[in-house]
Amino acid sequence: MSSDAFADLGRSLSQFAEGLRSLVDVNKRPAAGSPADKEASGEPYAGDWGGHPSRDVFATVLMTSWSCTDHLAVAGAVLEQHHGISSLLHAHAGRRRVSRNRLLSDRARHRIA
Amino acid sequence: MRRNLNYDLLAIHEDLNMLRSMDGQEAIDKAARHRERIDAIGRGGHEHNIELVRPRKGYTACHLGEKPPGAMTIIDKSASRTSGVGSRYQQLLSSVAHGQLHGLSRFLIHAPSPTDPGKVIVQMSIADHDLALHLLAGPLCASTLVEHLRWFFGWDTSELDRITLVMMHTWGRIAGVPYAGPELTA
Repeated sequence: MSSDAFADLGRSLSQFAEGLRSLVDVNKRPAAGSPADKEASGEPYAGDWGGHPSRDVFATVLMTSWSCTDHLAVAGAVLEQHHGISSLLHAHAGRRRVSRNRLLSDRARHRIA
Repeated sequence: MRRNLNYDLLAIHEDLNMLRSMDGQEAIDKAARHRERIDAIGRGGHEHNIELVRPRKGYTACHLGEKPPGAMTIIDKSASRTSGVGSRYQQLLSSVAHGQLHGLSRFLIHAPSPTDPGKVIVQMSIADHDLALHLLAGPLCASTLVEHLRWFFGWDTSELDRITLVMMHTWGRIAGVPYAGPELTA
């Protein structure tokens, strides 16, 4: 726990994203005897649905998980660094940005107000 | 399996919608292949006693068996066991996710200083507590994903479980929610 709540939120997301990515990378395939393994055993649904439709389900789940890690990692980085993605709306290079999406703490917000 | 094929059918439907507005043989051939795939999914479904439903209205995708749940229903089930939490988050955040001005406007504050004529300064601001509360659905759904990966794939998630707990406690503490999950662990 630090004095920067945004950084705490972002760091916890980043660590989770890294952990999830690692879990998927290390395992990739269903464990023996798991519901996914049993469903895919012998590919009972092969035919009009494809040559290996049960394996296709794994691919969907893996892609969804990777997508989740990407989203969380980006959200984590934005929160931790207090900066969003640079806006397309900005003045000339080297000058102050017109649109700033800096996240402000309560104290900073009150100071501005 | 059925749900995954329904996602296939939805993707095909969206692609067909795009192809409909295109000219050329390539688009025609691709649309024909999509229709063949829909027919094949229907035949496979019939073999396994699941019927393909072809909605009369063309703007709705075909589906196998009962109609797939909408995004709001899925998020509601993924976010929390408490019914309504996930769907409220979907209502709260979908406008933000899609960049709708009415969703973003609540983050805008007055700029601290005037600017040159012809320029506009916009600042976005949100307190840490509000941000954690507004975005709590993300960590909640992510923790549910881990629960399901453990169950369906039989993976050892013990290392990630520890990290998940830290994440949920951090978000819960800052959001002011005593314990935000994961809820599905027995």
